[in-house]
Amino acid sequence: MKKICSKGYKISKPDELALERYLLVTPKKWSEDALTGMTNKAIKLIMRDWFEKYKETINGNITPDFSVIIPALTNMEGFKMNKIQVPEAMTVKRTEKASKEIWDNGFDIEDYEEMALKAVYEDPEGMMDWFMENKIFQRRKAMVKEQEVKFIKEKKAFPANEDAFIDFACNQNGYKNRKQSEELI
Amino acid sequence: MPGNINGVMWGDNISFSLTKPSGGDITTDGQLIIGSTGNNPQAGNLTGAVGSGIGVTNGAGTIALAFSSPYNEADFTFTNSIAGNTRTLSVSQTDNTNTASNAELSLESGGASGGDPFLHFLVTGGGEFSTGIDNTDSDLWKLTSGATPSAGTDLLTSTSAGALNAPVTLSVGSSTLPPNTQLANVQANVGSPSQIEAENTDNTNVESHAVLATKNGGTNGGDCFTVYEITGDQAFSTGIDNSDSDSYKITTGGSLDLGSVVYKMTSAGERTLPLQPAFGAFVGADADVTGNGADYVIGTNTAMTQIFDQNADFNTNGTFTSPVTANYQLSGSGLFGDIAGAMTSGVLKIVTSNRDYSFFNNPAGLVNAANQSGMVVSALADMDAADTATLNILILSGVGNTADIVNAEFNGFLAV
Repeated sequence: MKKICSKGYKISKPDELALERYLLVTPKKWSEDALTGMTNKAIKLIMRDWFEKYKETINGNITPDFSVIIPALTNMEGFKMNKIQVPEAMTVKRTEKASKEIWDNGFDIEDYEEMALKAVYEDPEGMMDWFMENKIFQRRKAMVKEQEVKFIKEKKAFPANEDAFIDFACNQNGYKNRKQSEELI
Repeated sequence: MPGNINGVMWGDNISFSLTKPSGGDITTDGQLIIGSTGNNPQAGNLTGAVGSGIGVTNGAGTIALAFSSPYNEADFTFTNSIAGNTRTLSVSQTDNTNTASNAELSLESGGASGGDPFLHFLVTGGGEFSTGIDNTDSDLWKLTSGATPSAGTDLLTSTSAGALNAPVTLSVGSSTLPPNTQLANVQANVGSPSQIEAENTDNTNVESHAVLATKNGGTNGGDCFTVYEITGDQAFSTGIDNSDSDSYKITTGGSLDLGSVVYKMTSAGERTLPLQPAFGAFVGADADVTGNGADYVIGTNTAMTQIFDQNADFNTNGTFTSPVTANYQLSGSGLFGDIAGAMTSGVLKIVTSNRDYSFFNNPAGLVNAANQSGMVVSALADMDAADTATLNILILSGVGNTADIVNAEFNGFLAV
């Protein structure tokens, strides 16, 4: 078993409010699902590009166990993947410092999963950081866009500062985040 | 008989002039002959002593050096072997008051049946170039790597109409061309582009196009394409793949045969995006998944069967993970069985990280003879990179979670 992202990740209160506006799950659960998606993609890409070549080297049966297959593939002569790069960073307009730890203790992954991630991603931990920062960036932007239109229509003055705006929007009468809004039929 | 003129001192002049003793017009030219005439003529030399030289000056008029038979093999030669000493042939017109005051070095051959007028540059035992008119090749002006304009390799040619041709290579900015390159513009322009342009400045005629064209030799030749490259990093190529039914392609490599095809259009106009996120999956029987409020992610107990997954973003547990922030077209459908009469509320929904997209109905009110009810849901969903999407079935009000999935499909693709 291996550990990834043990250095953790911190968010601010406005970050958390923007995420809660849209997510049904915690930021940590969202991150775990993101990591699962990364791992699944890494394994599938390795299998797509190298499994046929691997089969040509085998006499008899192939064990249906990724913990055996992935190391075998990544150790093949000439093994190489076009690695996925971490995209350009975007700037989240934070005023309040990010102080709440959401990835305490990182995530546990299997040895072969770590092998697959490192084969396919240039920097798996950097990629996770980027996914989380991008998620916060996108949700803050979406929340501002969504609520600004509402306040302008209501002719209600609102703060220009993004952190202050998010706090302001969440404190309006009748504000509900997604979890609060969802009703069972 | 041989003889010398001696006793001429510095400052003395020797003058040869024709004067008609009886006056009147001079009707023949005067000559200073150096050498010998008559039988067995010998070479004559006009020699300047070391430290002095030979100056030929004139007032208004022309100084001409002409060779006629039997002297037509003679050359006019400057030779020097003194180390560090430069020999210069200079034609100088020092007047600066008249635009016709030219300094001209003229090389002229006799005519269309004659030879070439040219300049020859030679490093003994080393490099050699010639530049001039090739009288045997349509009077092209040439720069060649040989002893004459018709020898060696043509490096640069031009017609008299100005059609300039570099038959081998042409490079602007750098003498080192990239591999397999015949025409290059290589500059280190800090803060401004290195650019090649085709511009047609006419604005009066709809046929006045500006065109950059790539063209191969024919159906048995290679591809026609352009390459875009961040040095040491990413490349894209775009063009016609001559080995794939002349389809137009964009690839992630330095040629149409390298990297992955990301866009392909056939000559009939059919377009595919082989790496665009797109998936399709289905599941067959999956028993007792909902009915009394269980919100079931289709693919959880019985894995979905993947039909296709172009970008490796789908997990057979029923989860699609978006690779980039974009809007995705997602669709799901299902036939649900063992619908009890009490199961009057049901929703088939696409659950994404940001929001749900739901189809509500009364399953018990819409059953077939086998107590099965069908539902469909579709959405254009905004998803951030690494967001997830699943297809969920939720049926309420039954005694237990005894409703089954008979079959269900989930599919989607990156739309915009």
